[in-house]
Amino acid sequence: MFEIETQNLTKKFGRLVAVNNLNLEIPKGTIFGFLGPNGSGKSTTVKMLTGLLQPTAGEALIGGLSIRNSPLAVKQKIGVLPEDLALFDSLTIWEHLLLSGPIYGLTKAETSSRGEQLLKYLDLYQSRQTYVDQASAGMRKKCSLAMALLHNPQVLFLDEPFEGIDPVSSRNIKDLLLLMASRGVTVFLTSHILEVVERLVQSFAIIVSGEIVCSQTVAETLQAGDTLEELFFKHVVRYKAEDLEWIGQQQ
Amino acid sequence: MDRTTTIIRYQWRAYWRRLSRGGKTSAGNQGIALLIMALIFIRYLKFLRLAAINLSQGKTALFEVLLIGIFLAWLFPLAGGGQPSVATRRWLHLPLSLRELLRFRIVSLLMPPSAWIVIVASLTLSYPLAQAQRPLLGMMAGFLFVAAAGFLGLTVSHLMSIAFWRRLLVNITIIGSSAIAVLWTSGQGGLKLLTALPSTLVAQAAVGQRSWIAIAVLFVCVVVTYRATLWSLRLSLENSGPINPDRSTTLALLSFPGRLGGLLAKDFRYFRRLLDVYLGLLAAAAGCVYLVTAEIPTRGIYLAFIVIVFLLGAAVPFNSFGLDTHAGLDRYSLLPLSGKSIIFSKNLAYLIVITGQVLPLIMLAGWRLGTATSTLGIVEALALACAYLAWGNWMSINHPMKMQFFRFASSGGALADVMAGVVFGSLPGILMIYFLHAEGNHVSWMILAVMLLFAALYCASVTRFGRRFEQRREAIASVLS
Repeated sequence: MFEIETQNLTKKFGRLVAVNNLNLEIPKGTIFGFLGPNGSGKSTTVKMLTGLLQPTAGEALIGGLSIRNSPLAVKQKIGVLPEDLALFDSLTIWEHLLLSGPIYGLTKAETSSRGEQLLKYLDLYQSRQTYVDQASAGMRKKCSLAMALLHNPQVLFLDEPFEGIDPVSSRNIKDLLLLMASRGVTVFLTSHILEVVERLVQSFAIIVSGEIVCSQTVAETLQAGDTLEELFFKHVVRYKAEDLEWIGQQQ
Repeated sequence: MDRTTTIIRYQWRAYWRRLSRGGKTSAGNQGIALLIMALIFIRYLKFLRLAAINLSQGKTALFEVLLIGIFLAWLFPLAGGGQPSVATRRWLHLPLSLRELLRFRIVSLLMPPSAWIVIVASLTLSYPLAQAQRPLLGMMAGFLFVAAAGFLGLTVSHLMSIAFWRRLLVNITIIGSSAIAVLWTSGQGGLKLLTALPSTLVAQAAVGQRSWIAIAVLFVCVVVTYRATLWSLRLSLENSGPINPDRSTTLALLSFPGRLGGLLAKDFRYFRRLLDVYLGLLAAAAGCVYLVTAEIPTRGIYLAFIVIVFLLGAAVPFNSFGLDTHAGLDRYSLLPLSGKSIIFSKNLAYLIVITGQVLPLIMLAGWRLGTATSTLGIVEALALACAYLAWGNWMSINHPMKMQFFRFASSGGALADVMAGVVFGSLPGILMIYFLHAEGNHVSWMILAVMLLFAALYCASVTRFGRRFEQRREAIASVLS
């Protein structure tokens, strides 16, 4: 049985097909990279897998449970770092953790203890009383990540976890993800930083215009003599900067 | 001028597009604000005719009262509404002067229909002024008065976005209200101080008493308020960035127990940042003054005060998601909570807010009117809360509308829905007062029946609209983004 499984998962917004017949099978304890250019359907897929969006068609199973039929049971076992971070204005970083813990069944003491450890690990403890609407983008992202980790999820969905994060925290997050995977947690991440993904994930898929164009393991890529970046640009159209003749010209 | 009109055109487009997004048919309807203003406007027109007759005879008292009303009305859409389609600070990266930014802000704040009513009401002042002895001078003074009121409203609106000034303004309002109350009770001698008000100057200009001096003073008022507007705009823009990381939280979360304690505390913090709550507090304070000072306070008036407190805060339960953001709605979806739990936590937060308002009234009633009447107030308040929340849950899910902190709440529902909601919400209170007045044999049973009926309606509403929230979350999020 796969920890994350999708069967012909499809999402349409009116006439736009954002994700078309997506089929994924991700084993337990895997770090899976989901790659693609902007607007390719990565975040839409994450939203469908985490219950933020209802699929137009198809099925998604997390730990054998259908997100459509058992949304609360699925949400109890997953942790999510969403694209928009899903934080409340006018609450501090610390208050976000205090709010979140009891909803997942943690006691006040557990929430405080775990929250303190997580914030220290993410170098956020000193700033814990900062309101999220006054925090930097990186701090907000780390706050959302801490919320995703607080209840010790079995499956972790991370949408662009390294964007806007300082090098020390970025390294810490990578170490943490590797540790979690070694302990059986499944990690589904999207990222534009291909070098990081190549070093971190075991398998990946590239999505373009809502359809998977490539799905394989990193080991298979390296065996074929490719790098992840070379493989990515084989599937994604790239325009040349020189085409913008007017830019930088003195007026 | 070209870029000014371009920006204003897009501001206008963005405003209406935002309102019409989410399939709402009632674009531009600002719910209770619009309803109240429309009702006041109809009443105002009647008084205007009377004021015109009085002014032609040299009597200015009614006209001055209307001017004070217009002055307050200018404070309401500017300080209360303040929802520009594109926030002024979003224009900061463009090469625009402070005066241009002010122009955009004025235009965007005058876009909502509730602001149009104030503009029309101000223009209609020319009707009584035309009947006065010096119509042209009167109209000139009236124009200066309206301009000064508008600029003052804008200044208040800007200062409300800064914590220090917000606190100062609240203190000034409390002290000012107390001073007026003291002057009022001290008789005519104290009220003489009020003759220096700008409204009196307009009346003086219209009836030919030192007209030019009055106009000169009003002109100075316009200049001063305009400078204050520019200064406060600059101040609000400078204070918009990340500031004061040591800002402490006045009410810690988790002070409410249970699984929903955090959400409850969050919503409590959100709701108490709406000005409606303070309007309700003022009504409750008036009720307390009545209970303390009245020689023989009556049960009916005590119960009516509770109805008024709920009425003034009606927009809060009618748009309980209005202060959330798209990201906040996403968080609700990520949490392992049913829609029913989320709605319930919001309802509890409202209940805490309303308890804070009516509790002093109930306690004072216990002292002045006895325990039985005090308990009756509790039953009435519970029934009112059930009624407002039952209707409010429907409104919140089907007609959400973006609101702002430190402004009056607004509702996205059609005018008829809001009116029906206010009537439905007040119904248990009105029924209870009626039953007590009728003094039948089964008053207690009838009150209990009303209480149980609205409690049942509330339970059905939480279940029904909790499920509906799960279905409509994306649509609500899109309206709030």
